Amino acid sequence: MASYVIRQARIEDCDVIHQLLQEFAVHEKYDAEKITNTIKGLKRDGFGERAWFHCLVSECVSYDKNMSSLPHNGVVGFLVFYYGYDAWQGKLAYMSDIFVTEKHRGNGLGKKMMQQAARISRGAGCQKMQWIVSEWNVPARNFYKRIGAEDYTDQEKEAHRQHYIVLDGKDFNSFAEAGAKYSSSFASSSDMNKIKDNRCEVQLAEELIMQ
Amino acid sequence: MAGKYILREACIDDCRRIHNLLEEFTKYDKKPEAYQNNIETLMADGFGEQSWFKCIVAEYVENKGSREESKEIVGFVMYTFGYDGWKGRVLNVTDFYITDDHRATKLGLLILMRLGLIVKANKVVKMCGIVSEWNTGARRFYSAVGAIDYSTEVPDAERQHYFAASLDSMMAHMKEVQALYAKCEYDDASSETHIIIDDLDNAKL
Repeated sequence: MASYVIRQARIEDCDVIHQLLQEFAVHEKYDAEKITNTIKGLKRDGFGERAWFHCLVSECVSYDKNMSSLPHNGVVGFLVFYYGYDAWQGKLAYMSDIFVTEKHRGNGLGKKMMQQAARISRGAGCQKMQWIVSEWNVPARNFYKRIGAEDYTDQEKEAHRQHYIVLDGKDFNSFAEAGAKYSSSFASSSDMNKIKDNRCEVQLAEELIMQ
Repeated sequence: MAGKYILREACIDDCRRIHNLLEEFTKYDKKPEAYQNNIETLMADGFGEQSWFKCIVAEYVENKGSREESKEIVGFVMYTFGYDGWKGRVLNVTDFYITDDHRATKLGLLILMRLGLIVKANKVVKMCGIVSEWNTGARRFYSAVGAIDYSTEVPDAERQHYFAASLDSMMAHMKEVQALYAKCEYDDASSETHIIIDDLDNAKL
């Protein structure tokens, strides 16, 4: 049993996020050198004068003795998103990166981070969220279909094909609503701000609850 | 036919014309009902407190006689800045349209070059966009400048294609346009690019 916090990334998380990006590249069947972005770039672009992106992280705050020691000072996953536009439909959110380190997968952290990103984006006025996923990543593609997202590209052969994925309409709303359920339950819950499922407890940090 | 193109940043008063051009564009698309935006929203979203998109417009100024001059927006590109965690700053080309009369001239490439200036000024490392399956003209256009199509052709006419271009390959492909661009005048003060076309008919590809 493990406990996690989902919170906004801070500038000091950039080192860890960069390490996780390299793990992500390897996971996607590339070399770590594929990550040409730098820690300095992440700090400048995420926390400088202009915010080029927003980032949520999952931090493991407690775990039982059977789990090996925590990598990366406890940050085990992240989601990078930003706001964009579609002249036909208006404001939208792009999810550009989402990754959870191997040992902490299977706890629903990816989904919970996505729900928070959807909730925050909806609060900013977005009507939909879109992202790209690799052809070969069938579990991810199936997961996205289950939450009601539509795959706008159909791929047949090559390993590095991309899919343009859009979550909009009532599926986007209900997905964002699910994120709102977590945060609103904290305001009224006396149960120490925890969401429990079979696998883990997930807590939202103060700043996410207040949004 | 002689005239000139002016490439400049859109202003709030351009929204009516941009909206009209977007509606024109939807007539060619397979899902015209997908266009849900309107002039007021374009104005608020593009030119309000928070700017949700940026836009470069191309005006065509036609010499009609000794004093007469007509000026009209004949094309535009809407774009946003974004991010790719793996690489860094990104420019998303979200909508790119040129009216019938001015398509298949070098205007499209010149607008892309203008984006290239913006990309350099902002230290952007990647440009990308989504193009509809059926839009073979646009897909050829982007392929011609070295963009790579990250999706393949599939039966359904609604498929989207995700494009990404490395700037080096784009610049390598656009040497011809760079030479053309060298004849354009860029006015720092007004941020306008003036492109003189002596013979519009021969400007076509």
